Amino acid sequence: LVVCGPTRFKDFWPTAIAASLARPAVWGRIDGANGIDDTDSRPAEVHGVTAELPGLAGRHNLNALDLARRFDDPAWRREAFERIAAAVDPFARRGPVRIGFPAVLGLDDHAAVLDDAARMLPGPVFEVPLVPPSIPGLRLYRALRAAFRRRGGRLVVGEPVIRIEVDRRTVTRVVASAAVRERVIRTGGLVLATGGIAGGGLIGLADGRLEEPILGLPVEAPSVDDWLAADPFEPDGHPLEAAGIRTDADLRPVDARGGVVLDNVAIVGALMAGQRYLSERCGDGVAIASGAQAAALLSRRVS
Amino acid sequence: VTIEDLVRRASAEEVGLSADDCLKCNVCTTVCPVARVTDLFPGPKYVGPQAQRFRLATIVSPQTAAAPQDVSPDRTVDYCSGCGMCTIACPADVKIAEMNNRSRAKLKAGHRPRLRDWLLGQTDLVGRLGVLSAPLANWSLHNRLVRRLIELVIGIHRSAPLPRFASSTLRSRLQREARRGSTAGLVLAPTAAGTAEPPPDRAVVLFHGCAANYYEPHVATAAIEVLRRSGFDTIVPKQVCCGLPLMNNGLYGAARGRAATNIGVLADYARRGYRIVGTSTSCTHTLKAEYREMLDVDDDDARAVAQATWDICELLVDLHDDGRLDTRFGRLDETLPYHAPCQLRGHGIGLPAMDLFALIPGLTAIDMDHDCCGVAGTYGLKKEKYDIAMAVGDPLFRRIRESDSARAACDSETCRWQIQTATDRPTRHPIEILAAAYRSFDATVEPATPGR
Repeated sequence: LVVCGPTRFKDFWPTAIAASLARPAVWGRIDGANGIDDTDSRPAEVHGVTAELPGLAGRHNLNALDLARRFDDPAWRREAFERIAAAVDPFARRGPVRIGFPAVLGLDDHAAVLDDAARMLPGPVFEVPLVPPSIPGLRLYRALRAAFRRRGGRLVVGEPVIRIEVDRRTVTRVVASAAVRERVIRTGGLVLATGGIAGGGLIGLADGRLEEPILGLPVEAPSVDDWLAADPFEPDGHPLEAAGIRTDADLRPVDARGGVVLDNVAIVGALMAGQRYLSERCGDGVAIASGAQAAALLSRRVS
Repeated sequence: VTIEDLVRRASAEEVGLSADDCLKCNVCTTVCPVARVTDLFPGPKYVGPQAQRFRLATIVSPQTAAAPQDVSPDRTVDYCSGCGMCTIACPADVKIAEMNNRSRAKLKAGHRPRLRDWLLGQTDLVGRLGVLSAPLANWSLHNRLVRRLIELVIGIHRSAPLPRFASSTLRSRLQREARRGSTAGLVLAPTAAGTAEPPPDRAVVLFHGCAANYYEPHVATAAIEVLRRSGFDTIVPKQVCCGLPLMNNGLYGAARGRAATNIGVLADYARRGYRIVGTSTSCTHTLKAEYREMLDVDDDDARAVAQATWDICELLVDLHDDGRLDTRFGRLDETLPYHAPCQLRGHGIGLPAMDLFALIPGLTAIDMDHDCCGVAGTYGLKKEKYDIAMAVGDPLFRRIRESDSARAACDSETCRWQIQTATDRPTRHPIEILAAAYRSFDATVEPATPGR
């Protein structure tokens, strides 16, 4: 396994990553319902190398986006792949290699970039996720956004929702802020994806309660005495990661006795109770799966 | 130092201190149209919240009292076009574009402004002189030799989109009409003593801005015509440039003077319940938000004006929601590419022009869904930034050129001129399209009946 990164790219340190991946503990079995076993994937050797990519000398504020956009340019990426191939080549001559590269292999033209990579590199390449801005995340966002707009969806970005109006168990209107005044959006349904504690979808109060600030939904949370963990990344997880809004099978918010609180609201992503996004690293997967489920439920109700 | 002093200072620093909320997520960088096309601008985060730490830093030594250092560590902030996409995208509510605009002004403070930047800020002076000498001014500003000379001496790019001066200003046209007595639905303020203004439920106040006054009077007259269809008179008070071009060129002092004049005229109308309407999304955004965010003008009068200000399409959609908009539009059988200007997004009102286009039978409006046309006010006119601006707008221009439509639409004047110049397609304000749809209706009704 050869971990390769562009020289002077501060978000990706090939030697550090290689040292980490060389530890036997990284490869092995994880038991449980969704257990995996990648013992057989463990590489005989792990190396970290850098490649000087074209035209980047003197760039000190390089980020993933700069690189991904350059990979979209066919002429540039051919030259880049030549240099990456040259950096990996000494190892490839000793045996088959897999190549780990930062997740910057194209933004608008990812498929074409992967084609060129398969053709020009001495082994199969996989992308290693980076700190934000996440290029795979942007690819997904753009694809979903385009699909949404193609179906006549309208997108307003940047103005926070300040109030949601409810008639008995039904959300009727969403009120957003604007440069001045308020903007009222009438609605027959709502997907609430405001995130967990880090995203602002849940707020910790001084009296030791967690609050869902926009609809005041009932929050399932550990008692304040259990909020702290010695190690936030300990394998058993952090007590607060499971906090959130409990839902029924249709993602509708329910109270402590299981009664549906709002009929036309779907709770998705990190706001959902009972998940383990820290211990299982499943935050993105929960977001995607619950988002898709909410969209399916809503479109069934509308049609 | 009293508590009041501290509170006042903190609220005046609302923009600067918002840097503390930055999560370094770089979403702003992903939406920045300038960083997308050039390495000269590293991106909003780097020159904004990140550099802000150094600007907020204080020099403390035993000899001197603490004094804010207040200088920008990074001159690349000058390449920010001020489009505002970063502020809109920021999930942590950091005022990135405003921060960058302020630090650009600080970079220039203390230096005499470049003749070019001063000139580009004086839209009302330039407009007045240009209209006076319209034939000569238009000839020379579209003569290739003169433009090369201007580029050489002043630094305005030879190919940059400059509009044509109208042969007379909007105000003088309206005055002429008033003398002729053909002023149905129009009130020029201040009115003659004893003349009553129509009440606020039947009239709006027009902030026409420089573009409609000196270059495109037909945009304002289209607005007056459209408002009249739904039973609204238009009051046109005396006014000056909103001041945005001055701010964009670092001339904050002069911009504050313009703000004071306009607020002095408009606050009284706002208090009496009139809605202040503009056809320029950038002027109306200045009245709504930038007097406060950029110039720290935040008194009761300024707030009353901000609360009363509407973009023309925003107002028409609101009238439609209340069932007060005359929806008898005639057919316009065409495909219309529409570009939502970056300034419009700052309003946070969605795309009201698209909602209105949907009311016109036969019309297929297509939202181009492009971040910025590049010109961003006066940015793209400058010699050293012209190429960047054209690269920013390029995907938009290509899509419009490749469409088989005869014209395009956009709410903001400088964007219209940029798109028009880059694509060779006449580019109209949405209000002109609506006026055309009403005229198309009139043509199908015989004999011609007056509006309701």
